[in-house]
Amino acid sequence: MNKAEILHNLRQKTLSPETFQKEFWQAPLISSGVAKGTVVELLGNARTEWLIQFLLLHPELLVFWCQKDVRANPTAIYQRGVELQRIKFVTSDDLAQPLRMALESGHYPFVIAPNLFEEVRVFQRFQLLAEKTKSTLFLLGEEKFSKAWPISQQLRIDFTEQGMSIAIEKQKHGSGQ
Amino acid sequence: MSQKQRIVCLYFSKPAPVHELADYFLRLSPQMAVREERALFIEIGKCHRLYSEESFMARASVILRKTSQKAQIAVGDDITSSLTLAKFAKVQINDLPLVALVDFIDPFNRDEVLKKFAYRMIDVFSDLGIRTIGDFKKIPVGNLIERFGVVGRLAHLRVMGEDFVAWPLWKPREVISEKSEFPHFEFYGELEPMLFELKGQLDRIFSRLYNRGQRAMVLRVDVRCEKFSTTKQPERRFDFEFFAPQGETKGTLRVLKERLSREFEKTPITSPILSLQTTVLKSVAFEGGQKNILDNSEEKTEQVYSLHNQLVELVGRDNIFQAELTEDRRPEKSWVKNFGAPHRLALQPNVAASIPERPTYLCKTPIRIEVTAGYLHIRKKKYRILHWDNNLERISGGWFEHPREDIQNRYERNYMQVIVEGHQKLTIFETPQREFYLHGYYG
Repeated sequence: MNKAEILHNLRQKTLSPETFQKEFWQAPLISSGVAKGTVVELLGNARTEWLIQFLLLHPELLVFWCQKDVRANPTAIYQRGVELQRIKFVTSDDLAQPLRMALESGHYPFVIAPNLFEEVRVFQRFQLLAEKTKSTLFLLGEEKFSKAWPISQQLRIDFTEQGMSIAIEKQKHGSGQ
Repeated sequence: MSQKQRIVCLYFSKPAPVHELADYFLRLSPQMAVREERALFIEIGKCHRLYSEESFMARASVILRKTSQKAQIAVGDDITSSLTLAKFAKVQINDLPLVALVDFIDPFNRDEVLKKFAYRMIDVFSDLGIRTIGDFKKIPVGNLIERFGVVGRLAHLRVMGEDFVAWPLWKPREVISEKSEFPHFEFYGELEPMLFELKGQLDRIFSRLYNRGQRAMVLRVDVRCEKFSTTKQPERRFDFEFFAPQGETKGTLRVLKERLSREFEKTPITSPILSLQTTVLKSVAFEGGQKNILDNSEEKTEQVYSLHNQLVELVGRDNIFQAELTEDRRPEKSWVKNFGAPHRLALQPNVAASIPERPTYLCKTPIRIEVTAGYLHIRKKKYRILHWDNNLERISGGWFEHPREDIQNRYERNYMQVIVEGHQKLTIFETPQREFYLHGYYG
């Protein structure tokens, strides 16, 4: 049993109000779901594939996809079933400002960006804005998980011989079940 | 049957911007007239089914409060009675002082000669002990005509409410502009006080536009500074062209703030600001109606547009887009940026369904790689190949445009999917020269 599961079980037992106050998005391969209004960090070579599957589960909701330069392939996203009409792509050298605006607006339940941030206060600002508007910010990490405490959930998603595997590194808000 | 006229007069004891104020009342009545800097007349009799006189008064007082104006308001059956009642703050015509005759005779303050005759008449009657309009009404009309001719006749008819005063044409101003002046060197180039002023101006501008059934597409902000020998640009001009029509201060102010903070950082303002002016350069009509109480999708769309405007200001027009698929098979050309309205795209071409699955990420430009026995060499790093899916797809083109010429842009690629150590899926292609390129990756 990893640390996240232990914490999850303890919260279940102690009936922590935090567990019940949060609303959750249904998510593929992860029964506990993804909490609304949180910052989630994704790592691994299948993180985007998982994220696309996640977006597919919520077809009505708008997506704000921020990048430093154009890398994500919209054709691939469309081929996997996600309507491109839902997604607004933004490219910027400074990602913090557009992300802050998207989170603050509350029009985008899903905000996606590469994790190029280091300062804890930047994460903290994201977390506060996400919590306020119930948007979920997905940060796509590259090599290592960030140690910033405002990140509520950290998931490692990899391709394996059996398909896609998911490991919960950190989960602060219990589960949706 | 014609509805009885009910005229509201807003009389300003100090000079006021009546033309600008008239804009605010456009939604309440289309029939208006102004007396320069002093009075605004609004016909509300024909709108009695839409609102009562009491609710009009309540709305008028809100508008006056919002615009920081003070006015005396009165309702009458014609222009002259409403004007005089408002100006002298009386309830009955008969209680009005005799000097009100001037306003009865020349309500729009346009005829100096007529006014001279009126004053002469007032002097004469004052000497005779006639103090009010009620007293004036008792004078036989024959005597008035005998003594004062046509002016006496006119005064009598107007006071008795028997003469019709033609409404001078009033049209909303072509250009909507709000200006604030700071003659006492109130602030330098600090952004916050400027934004505070701009907020007030935008509030008034959007309110005026709303009443005209319009929204702003292009705004101009002029900042005029004191001319010091060290001031390089005493007059600064900022034009804001919005992606979508703007109807709210909140979103627009953010766009303005974004630009001004950037510009002032680059070239700060070094002398006191003398004036700040906001002008609407282009506006478009919009269908304003009652809010949909069951569905707020229109409001949401407007807010998304407002956010889009702010993002355009922040990152530039070319950096905010939606992806639209094309019929080109080349992965890098299989989509184009669409800078149109947010979250509105035409039907996508059905090519994506008939081509092999594309990688989720594409390299900015294909990266030259080496393939050796069992290994891929990418940027001097060696990766063990776990799986090699040959001949996934063959893409060629360009040749059909000029079949007999050896053109530069022809392409011929054999695509393959490779899984390297760590189960990382890659898309590579081979050229006729047997060169390998990494083009995309999954995950």
